[in-house]
Parts: sequence; C-alpha cells; structure tokens
Amino acid sequence: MAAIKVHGSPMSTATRRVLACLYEKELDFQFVPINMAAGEHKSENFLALNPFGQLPAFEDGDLKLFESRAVTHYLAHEYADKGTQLLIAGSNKEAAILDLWTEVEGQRFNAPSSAIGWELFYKPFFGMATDAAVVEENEGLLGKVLDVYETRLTQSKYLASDNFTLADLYHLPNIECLLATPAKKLFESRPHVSAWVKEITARPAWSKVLAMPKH
Amino acid sequence: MVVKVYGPVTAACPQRVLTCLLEKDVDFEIVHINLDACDHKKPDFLLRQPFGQVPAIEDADFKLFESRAIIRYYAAKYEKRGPNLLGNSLEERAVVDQWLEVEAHNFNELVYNLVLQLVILPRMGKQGDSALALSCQQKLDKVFDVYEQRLSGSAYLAGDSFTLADLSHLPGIRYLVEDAGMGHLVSQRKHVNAWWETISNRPAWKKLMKLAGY
Repeated sequence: MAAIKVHGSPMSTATRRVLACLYEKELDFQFVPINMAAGEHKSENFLALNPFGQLPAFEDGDLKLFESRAVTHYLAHEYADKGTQLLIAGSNKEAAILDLWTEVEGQRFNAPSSAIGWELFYKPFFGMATDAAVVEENEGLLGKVLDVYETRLTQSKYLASDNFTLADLYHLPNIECLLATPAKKLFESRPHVSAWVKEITARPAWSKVLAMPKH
Repeated sequence: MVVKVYGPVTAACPQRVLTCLLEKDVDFEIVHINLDACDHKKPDFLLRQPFGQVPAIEDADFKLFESRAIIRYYAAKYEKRGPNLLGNSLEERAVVDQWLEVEAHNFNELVYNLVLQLVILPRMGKQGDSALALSCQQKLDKVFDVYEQRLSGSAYLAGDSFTLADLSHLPGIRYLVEDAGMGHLVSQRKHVNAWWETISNRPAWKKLMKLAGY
C-alpha cells in the first residue's frame, strides 16, 4: 500500500493541483475519493484530516497535510530527485523568484479565475444561473493579470524560469476549467500566454490527471 | 547596504515584510508610497511591481515583490539569525507552509473584504457594503473556530514555536481588532485570544507599531 494518500475528488481544482504534482514526480499514491454530493467533506472523519472541510487532504506516512500548495511544495522538496524537477535549484535568490510567481498565482490569478470558472463552468453543471456581472468584473481583473504574464513570458519561457516549475503547474487546474468556457478568449488573445497555456496543458502528467475516472 | 521596502508603513502587506525584517534584525529603509496619490500605479513603481501593489523590496541588486515570497526569502537567508521562522525538518516546514497557505487562502480575503467595507471605503467617503461585511464576518467566525481548535493543542499555529505562519496574521488581525471593531472574534475565543496576546506582544511587532505611529 502506497505511503502517499490523497483524499479528494478528480473534479476538484485543488485536488488536481496535487495530482498533477504526483504524476510529474512519478510517485505511487492511493487515491481516496471523497463524495462531496453526499457531504463527505464535512464528515467528522474528513474534518480530522482537513479542519476546513475542503479538498484535498494528504498523507505521506505519518505526515498529514492540507492546502494543495503546501502539499505540492513539500512533494517538490521531499522527492526533489524523482521525476520532473519542479523547483529552481541554487541560491535563496533563485528560490525566491519561484516563490514570487507561486504567490502571484495564489494572490492574483486564483481568485478571478476561480470566480469565472464557478460562474461559467460549475454553475451550469449544477443547473444554477450564471451571474453575467460577476463574469464581466472578473474577466476584467484576470485580463490585467494576464497582461503582466504576457510581458513576463516574452522574457522567460515559463513563469519563474526557462523550465517548467511549480509556478506553472499551480495554474493548470483553473486554466483547464476556463478552456472549456468562452473565457478561453482571455488566453487566446495573448500570443505568449496562449503558447504557454498550450505547452503546459499538453504535458503527459496533466493528461493523466484528466484521465482519472470521475466518481 | 540596507533593504529598501517600498510601501506605506500603515498598510498590511508592507507590515508583513517589516515585521519579518525586525524579527531577523535586518536593517531597512522604508520608501513611502502614497496610495491616496496613486503612486503605486505610476510607471516608475510598475517597473518594481507590475501589478501596482505594495510592497516591493530592493536589496542591493536583488528585487522582489509579493509579501509572502519576501518573508520566505528573508526567513531562509537569515535562518541562523534570531528566531527560526521556518521550522527545522522538511515535515515541520511543510506544516508552516500549510498554515501560511491557510492565512493566504482561508483568512486573508475575508479580512481584506471586511476591512474594505467597514473601514477603508467609509474613510474615502464611500458607502461600504454591509451585507458583504456581514457575510465575511460569518465566514471569519468559522475560520476562527478552526484556529481555536488548533490552538487548543498547539501554542502556535504550526507547532510549539512562533513561525512565519503566525507572523503572517499579525497585520490583518490588528486591522480587525483596532480598526474594524471586530475584536470580539479574537477575545471571545480563549486560545485564539491567548495566541494573539502572545504574538502581538513580541518586541519586533511592538517596534513596528511605534514606527507606524499607532
């Protein structure tokens, strides 16, 4: 039985963030599906793993963690010599540049892209009505963020360096969600962003995440 | 050469960085950015921080933005100096990371929106959205319940020592308690209250409060 366990849903963006990292690192793991429709993520058992009742929760032997970005950061360090190198090796200064762009994802990209994904992808899926004003506001916000990315990607092949790192990986779940909606135009209208999106979503590890059976 | 920190000393994100520098006894110079005059949206500043937000730092020829990336950098650079803000083993560091992420994703936006509606907008002569403020407060109540449970088993968020995870909360909680009239969220919870009393009495934080003129 694998020491690594992921408790989550293959449809949850944060779960996908962790799964992408595990596949990039070529690590064995056990996937424990959590049934959100049945409220399993608010059960006592699950709250013991993640007191915020959110997906995913993670175990590696005795270590129990939640927050997808803390989990992936841990995996990238603990298994640094396996699979894809997701960190920037070298000085604290070089590591700081990676931290900067993972913070940009968390602080700037995540909120507007999640809001648009909720309105245009998840709400229709659940039979709820889209709020066009929310979409418009967040497309404006996301557009400004992507303008910064467009400039950055003229100077650097990937966000934090010339290699694929955690900073790029963190974006995959929300990008995948938006590509299935009209909001994909925000990527397509920016040539360097568009090329980067195509590149990172074509990675074999990401295809494995998408191929996981939906429960 | 001192570290230059660009931003007003009274804004939450620069305070996160300044507290870390004070904990680590790193000399710095605050380069004031006038947010009311929109200095942070001017071309000069956008070269430092392309999203037009504070803070940014300059340390000799090294430039960085995003307060949580900055504190991680200085906590690592001066790991052996002053308090260990990162944790020792990889597992300890992962737990520090976990609670830093909690601050960034479960806590920060609620506090930011609450303070925006109750404090900042009224200061600018605009109407705050009281329904949004109430919604944020209710969600924040649930988040603090989790913190209460955590802190009943652990002196600090990530374990037995003060780390970046606790430090990162200082500016936001100060705003809640001092400016937004939300002190009861803290004072009504025994362990959260004790934790807040401890971390807000640290010499580095008290130095910052003096610098900020509170």
